[in-house]
Amino acid sequence: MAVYDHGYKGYDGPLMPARSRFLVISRYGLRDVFASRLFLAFFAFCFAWPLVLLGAMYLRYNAEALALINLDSADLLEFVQVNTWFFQNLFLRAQLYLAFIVVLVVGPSLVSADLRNRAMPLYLSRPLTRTDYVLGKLVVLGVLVSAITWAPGLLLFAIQASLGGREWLLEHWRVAPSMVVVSVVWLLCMSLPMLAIAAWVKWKPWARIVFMGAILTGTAFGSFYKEFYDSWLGSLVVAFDVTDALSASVFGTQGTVQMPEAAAWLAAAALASLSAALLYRRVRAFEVVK
Amino acid sequence: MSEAPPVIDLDGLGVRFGRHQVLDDLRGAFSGRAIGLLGPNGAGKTTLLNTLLGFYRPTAGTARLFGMDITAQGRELRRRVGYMPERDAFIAGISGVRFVRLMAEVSGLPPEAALERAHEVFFYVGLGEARYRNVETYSLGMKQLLKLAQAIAHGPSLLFLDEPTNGLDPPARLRMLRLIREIRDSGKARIVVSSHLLRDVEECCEEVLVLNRGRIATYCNLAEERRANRRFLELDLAAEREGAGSGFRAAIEGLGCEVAVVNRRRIKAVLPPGVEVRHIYASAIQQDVTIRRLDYKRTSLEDIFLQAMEGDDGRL
Repeated sequence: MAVYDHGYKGYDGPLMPARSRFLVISRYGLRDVFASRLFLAFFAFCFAWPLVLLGAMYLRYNAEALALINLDSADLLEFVQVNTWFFQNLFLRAQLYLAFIVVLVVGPSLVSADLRNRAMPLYLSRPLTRTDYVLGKLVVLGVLVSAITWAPGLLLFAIQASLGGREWLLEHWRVAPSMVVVSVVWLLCMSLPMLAIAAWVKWKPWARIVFMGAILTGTAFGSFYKEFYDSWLGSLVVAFDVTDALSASVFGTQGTVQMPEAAAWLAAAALASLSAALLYRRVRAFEVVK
Repeated sequence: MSEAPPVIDLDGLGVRFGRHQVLDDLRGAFSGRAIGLLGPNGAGKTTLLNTLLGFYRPTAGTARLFGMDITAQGRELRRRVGYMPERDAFIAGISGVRFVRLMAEVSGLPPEAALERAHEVFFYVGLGEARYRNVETYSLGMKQLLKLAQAIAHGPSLLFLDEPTNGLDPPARLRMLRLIREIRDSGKARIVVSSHLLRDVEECCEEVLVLNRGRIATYCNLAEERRANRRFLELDLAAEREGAGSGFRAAIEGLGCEVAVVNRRRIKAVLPPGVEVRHIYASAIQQDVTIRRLDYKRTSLEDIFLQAMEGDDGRL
């Protein structure tokens, strides 16, 4: 069926493996995301803070460079302690806030347009399952969030380990897997609700408003409950409290939120499961009206 | 050598949504190059297509496409299937060629092959000049062709077309029907066309399955029906002399035709194999009879459809 040959021909060439088919959706999704220059600029900005921290780490171990900018190495050593707190709060917490914006901006555009324009029958009439579709979309957010959270975090960790030596590495080895675990759990707890809301609302601006509304309402209600009843139960609906408690649990530090670890894990699991169920319910070729 | 399995094999297929039985005990095997699904609105045509595509799970029985079970081997089947949905369906914000390429890649084609096929199918369906335009800017007719393009981009061996001529103006409709016939005649893909337009189905299908209220109302092999019609004649005669008419009847009976007399001037005849219309004319000349009118009996799809609807419950 070459363009000059106006006759119908079948295709009997090679095929890509079925198990990686969902990555086609991810690849196209990522290309669409980066087609926006505004988003590209914001995404580049997300690396600013890790670069600042990298600079501080470099200076901390480079007396000559410090002398050039008239800084005392003792002051900097005191000011910039590269330890678990540094990675958990100074690096990861800041990056998770930026990742939240990434999910808020990119998430709705991934599924709402497909559902609004009835593209699901086109996807699902091909050798692609609903799980593949959701996975493909989730990978887009996974790549973006990973690129600004645990990936630069591991790079900083590796550089610090090379500068700080074996002793530092042995003392702080837990930081590396903790950054990955917290980032992945956070990704699931934010991305799945965002995709689920986008699938139900089907309109990007509304999906963002509903998502923000849900988080703000949860925070307001939870904070009120905590104050009024003096109980940690309110934290269960405060996304950032749950994130803090989980982070403290994974990094093995003292959290700022008085909330049992198990309750935080349970809240995160419930949120992700409920969102996945809602999303899965919506991602269908056709809705069945019983 | 074993015989090829039927394209569609319905084995007691039933689909129920809540308390509503949408498809009920559908049975039959269909092997035509182009199979038409006919029926009034709500007959279950689209539900049958969607069930064959794996969108709905059968609540009773099963169906097989090319011998493969739609439930157990759904993924493998969908690799071989192309689907053109009834309603508008596209991915927003991308060009036509990128949309078709994405669909071909999801079907398993490598990126380079998918791009090549996307360009080819755009020219094939006649949208070559518009392939870089955003799909949201396409007209209704262009969107129908775009849906066909994405359905054939991966070279399926079975093509499901749901109301392919919906909303098309006459030239666009003719173009769509021509494309369907071309694909059918290429022998590369079997086609299932669901439509409520009898004329469209008649023009491009060889077998027709008429559904009514979730059941098979009738099945008709149009190709055989057409062949049978070619053998059934109705003749209006004008005899030049007394007794010529009966002589002519005897002559064509002598050729092996079955003859029924309607009245003095009109007869019906069934031609046996080997006897052609020219033999009838030759007999007429010999017997000094003028044939004023010769018609092939023509049972149209409309007749078959109306008969099926009446036979089903006596109402339309």
